[in-house]
Amino acid sequence: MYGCIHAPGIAASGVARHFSPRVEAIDPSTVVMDLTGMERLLGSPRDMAVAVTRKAGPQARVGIASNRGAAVHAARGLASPGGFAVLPAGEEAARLALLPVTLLETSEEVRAILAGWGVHTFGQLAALPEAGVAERLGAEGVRVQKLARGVPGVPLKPDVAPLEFAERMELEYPVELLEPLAFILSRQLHSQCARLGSYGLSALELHLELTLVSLADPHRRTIRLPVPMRNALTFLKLLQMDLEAHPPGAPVSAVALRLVPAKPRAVQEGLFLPPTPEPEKLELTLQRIAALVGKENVGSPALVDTHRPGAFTVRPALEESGRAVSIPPATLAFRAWRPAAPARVVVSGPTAQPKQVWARVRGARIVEGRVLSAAGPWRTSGDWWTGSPWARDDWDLSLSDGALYRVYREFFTSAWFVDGEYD
Amino acid sequence: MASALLPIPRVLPASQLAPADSRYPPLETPCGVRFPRGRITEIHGAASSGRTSLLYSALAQATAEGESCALVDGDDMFDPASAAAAGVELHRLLWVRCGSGGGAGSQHALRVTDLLLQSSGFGLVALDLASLDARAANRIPMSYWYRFRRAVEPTRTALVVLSPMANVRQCASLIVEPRRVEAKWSGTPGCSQLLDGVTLEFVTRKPAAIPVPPRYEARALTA
Repeated sequence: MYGCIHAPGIAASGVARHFSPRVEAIDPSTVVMDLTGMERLLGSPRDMAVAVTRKAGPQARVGIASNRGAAVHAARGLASPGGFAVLPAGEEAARLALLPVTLLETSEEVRAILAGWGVHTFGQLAALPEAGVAERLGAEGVRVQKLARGVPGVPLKPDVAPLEFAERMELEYPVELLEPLAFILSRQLHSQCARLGSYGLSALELHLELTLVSLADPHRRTIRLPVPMRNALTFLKLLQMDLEAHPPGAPVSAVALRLVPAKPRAVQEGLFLPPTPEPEKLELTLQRIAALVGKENVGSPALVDTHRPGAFTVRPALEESGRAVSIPPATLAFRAWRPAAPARVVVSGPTAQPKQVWARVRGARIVEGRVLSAAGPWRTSGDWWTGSPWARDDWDLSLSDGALYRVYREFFTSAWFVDGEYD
Repeated sequence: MASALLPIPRVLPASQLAPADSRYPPLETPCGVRFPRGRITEIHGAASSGRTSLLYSALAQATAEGESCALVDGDDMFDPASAAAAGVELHRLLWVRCGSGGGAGSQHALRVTDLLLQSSGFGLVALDLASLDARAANRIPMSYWYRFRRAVEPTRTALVVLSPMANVRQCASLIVEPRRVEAKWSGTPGCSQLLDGVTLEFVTRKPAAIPVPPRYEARALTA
């Protein structure tokens, strides 16, 4: 059973949603609602029509029918303002027969063809042979003929309101400390996570906006999660740590929280794959570590497409574990000193081979020794096409202190540095 | 009266001080050293003795098997290019840089390691304190190692500690002291010499020294 209300501005008024959650706004003045199963609540189709008419107001025309199209045309063509028309199942074609074809929603071209044929009413169009209409007017002709006959055609496409997972709370007294603020956040997070759960969704971003008493601009914080999560306690801990690191500058008078929904993470764990850290737990751990050592010092290393020695970048988080890969032959590890330690180097010979090295590493450790073996120099250079070119001569040195070092001389400044040690 | 308020001294039985073998199979590395899971392994030695090469070998093995690993870099000396050349899958490695060494860096490194062990799920957690000087290494409270041993025991994580000297002592189930047997050079000294690589030897200090320690040929990146 379908109902239709035709009245100016009815779509924006939201009246139809009082009767059904499945509502389609055809245009600003026409809405269709699915009333299937409402008989026990509202009674017979006539009682439904009375109830809808009372709610919709004196200008509304209401149509009740067994399908969407018939209900629309009943409301638009049969009902009077403040009245209703109920089409019993099976009598749609007979009741709609006298309506003009100008009520049909179709193109001007089809309307002109119908006028040329002398077809002016629903009944005349319904009486035409279906095959002939399809042959001459195509799929559009079949559709409008179904509408004229009052048989089910296009199904209802209910409007889906955009999902908002947001909550705002005005506080009676301004909150100055983070601990009482955490209670408010906890309540909001639990209710929003429950809502997310009811829709089978998770959150990928948290947006917090704190209205401050003495400041015009609110304190805004955004937390982006590596994977969709729906754990209120994890969110609360993340927000707490974030607010501890970036506290609001004044007492808080209102709290607005918004969660950006996302589809939950679906991972098929392999029976023989090694376990990995739980994303929620890992995210909390990473936040704690970032609070300790700085966000820029936590992540997965990645190589950069350059020949510059020691170039790397740090990416945000671990990737998922995957299939096993093979291991290359053993290589000698290198320990890089950041920054490279300036060195005093005694050289000799035509290749300026180092003979003696002295360097102080970060003001503490002293590297001092005679060169026992040396390999080099290996010239590397790059970025000559930019404003910061580099060029250096590398040496691998075995010093008398027993260690193996990589030492280099900058080409442009002729300064020596100890780059690190082989280990 | 006051003594009644003090906690009763707890004496741990010997079996708890020296835990039995882990329930998880050890991490087998190509260089012949087996890192026990749920236990602490200490690698200590002098500079250029091969400590880091042994660690990268373990990291390469663990990441190649698809495990997530973590490296707590106490002195910011990790070289991603060198690790990648050793076979470490960098995208499965969490790297935490704890500053420029010294007391604060090592303190941060110890706290970060604690957090990572509590997090669980890592195949291998490495704590690199190899660049600490002897005085700073001696200042690390022993309670940290007991805490780490307790934290790592019920998990399948292998905790590897790199240090300049024996530091973890009785809390470690395996103590390895790498030695550089020789450095291999090729070419003519003074004009076209090349560092080919090194031969490393891994002497086990605990549980017991193996008569013939495993040797490992590591080639240099420039070779």
